[in-house]
Amino acid sequence: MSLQPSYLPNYFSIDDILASQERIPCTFSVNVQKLGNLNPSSEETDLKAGTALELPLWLVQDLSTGRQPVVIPELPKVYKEGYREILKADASAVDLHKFNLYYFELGSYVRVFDRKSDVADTLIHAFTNRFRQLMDVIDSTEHNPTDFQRMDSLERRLFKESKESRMKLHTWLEHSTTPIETAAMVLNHKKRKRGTDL
Amino acid sequence: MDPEEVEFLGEKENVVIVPTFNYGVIHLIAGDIGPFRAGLPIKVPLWVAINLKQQQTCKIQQPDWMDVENLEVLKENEKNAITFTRMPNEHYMALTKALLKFAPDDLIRANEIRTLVKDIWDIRMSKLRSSVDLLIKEKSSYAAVDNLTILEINSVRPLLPHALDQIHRMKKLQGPQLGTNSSAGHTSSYSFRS
Amino acid sequence: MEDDENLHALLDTQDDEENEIELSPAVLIEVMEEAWLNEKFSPEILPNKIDFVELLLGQLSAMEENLENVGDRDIKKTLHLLEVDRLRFLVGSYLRMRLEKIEFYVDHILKQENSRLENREDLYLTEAELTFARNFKEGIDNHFEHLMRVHPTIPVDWKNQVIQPNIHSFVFSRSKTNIESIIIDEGNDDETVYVNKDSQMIISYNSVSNLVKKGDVQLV
Repeated sequence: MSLQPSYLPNYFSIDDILASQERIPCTFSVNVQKLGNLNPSSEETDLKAGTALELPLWLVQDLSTGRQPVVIPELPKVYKEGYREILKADASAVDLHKFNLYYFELGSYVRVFDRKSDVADTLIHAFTNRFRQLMDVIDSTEHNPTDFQRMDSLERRLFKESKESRMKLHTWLEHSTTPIETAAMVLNHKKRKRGTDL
Repeated sequence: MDPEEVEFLGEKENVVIVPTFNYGVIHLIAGDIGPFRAGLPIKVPLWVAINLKQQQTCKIQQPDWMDVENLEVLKENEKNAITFTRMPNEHYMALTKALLKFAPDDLIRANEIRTLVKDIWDIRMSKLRSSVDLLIKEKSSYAAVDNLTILEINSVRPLLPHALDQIHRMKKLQGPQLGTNSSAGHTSSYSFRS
Repeated sequence: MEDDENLHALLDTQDDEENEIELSPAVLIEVMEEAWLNEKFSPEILPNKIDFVELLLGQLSAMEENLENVGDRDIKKTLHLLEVDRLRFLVGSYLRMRLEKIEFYVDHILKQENSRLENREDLYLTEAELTFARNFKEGIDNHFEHLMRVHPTIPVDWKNQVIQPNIHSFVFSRSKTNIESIIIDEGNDDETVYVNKDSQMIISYNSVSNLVKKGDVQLV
């Protein structure tokens, strides 16, 4: 059986690349010439300071650092107070996929846009509170596709790895039944034989 | 780890067999077995016992602990204990499985044994689920897991260790923030994709 | 573990002489199994056990040779061959896991081996593994270079990316002796625990990595 390291994103991790592709709302703090076409709602050739746009995270990271940041990022709405309260109330009931497929990974990046540590706290709270449900789905023999749908990518990854492991264990455990009844084929064979003797 | 790999380790456990043939000592790399005298019990590793049984050249003796009365006591103890009790054998599942599969005729009340061992396993698995849930809720960095057999430990892999790993990643996020917020400007750059 | 120390002592004395080592094969198999488990559950590659591997492979080859002259109907032949199969699986699996780690973490591993060379420490990889690692790295680098030639505008920061194993991964372990203090790193406040012989725990690998390499802790 091959090694199974737990998820730790590196430069080449696909999930990480996809997570950093998610859009972050931000406001331009300076004018940027000739990039007007980034703003679909305006006809201008230049991007004016104050324009609010959604840009991918990887771009926002670069543009929002340094002594004169080009954009000022904002927390995506699913990490803001209102949504955090929903999670606090009942994390397991939430369809996390609807919040964001990369909820945890993206969350770990955007928490720096949050002055307090609320986002980080929410991530841990959500993960640990949803864990029981994750474990139940893994152990259950029923296949309910909505269970999987409601998970974010991190939970889905855990689910897939653990489910596979669980199935192997079940197969191994079940594989032990001794044949208590003679196989049907053998029974029929015996019956036929008796017939011909008469 | 696959259950088969755990079983591989379990197949080294010694069991007592009664051979139906005569043969001298066999010098296996792991040690000597035999001499084999028809009718006289000897100790051999489980994998040897299974092979000989399949060739119908021995009977396998029921291990002392694999007895209905004893298993009933074990089951009661397990039910009443909050923690995990010590199992009579590290590889009790592999041994039970092997004997039920290959030598059910050598066992007394094989069906009851099957049920009892399964019951014990189920009780322990259920305790394990609760323990795992608790470990996650407490975001533990450490826990003692004495009296769990390798198969039982393996049953929570990769879920438990991987979940703890993710919690650890998230715990690190709760630490002090990198740099100050962007409106005040800062010099540190986020080291994400660089 | 006492046996481990005896083994190492015996192996060390083999330096100049062509002696046959008197070493219990049963212990050899134990050591191999423990190495197998440790390698399986450790996130990083561990110091190699080439001496034990070679000894065991030697035993297996000798056994196979002896069996060639034994009749197929002989009971002992089946049993011997079965045992050889089991042990070959063990060794093969162990070696394959190491290769897998080398492939996955090749840059990181080579960096570490280079610094060990500089510090005159024992290398973790065997000579063969080191050659494999270097060739593998060369192959991957050539492959990437070749691909990138088609897209010359792509920035080259991929060249500096080193994929590292997660040293903090949680592992299950069993202690083989009483251990004074294992540090559990909680981030801000580190705690230490005292661990009895034979007790099992789940803990982050970096807390026990040195103990595993020493043989005081067994991963399970």
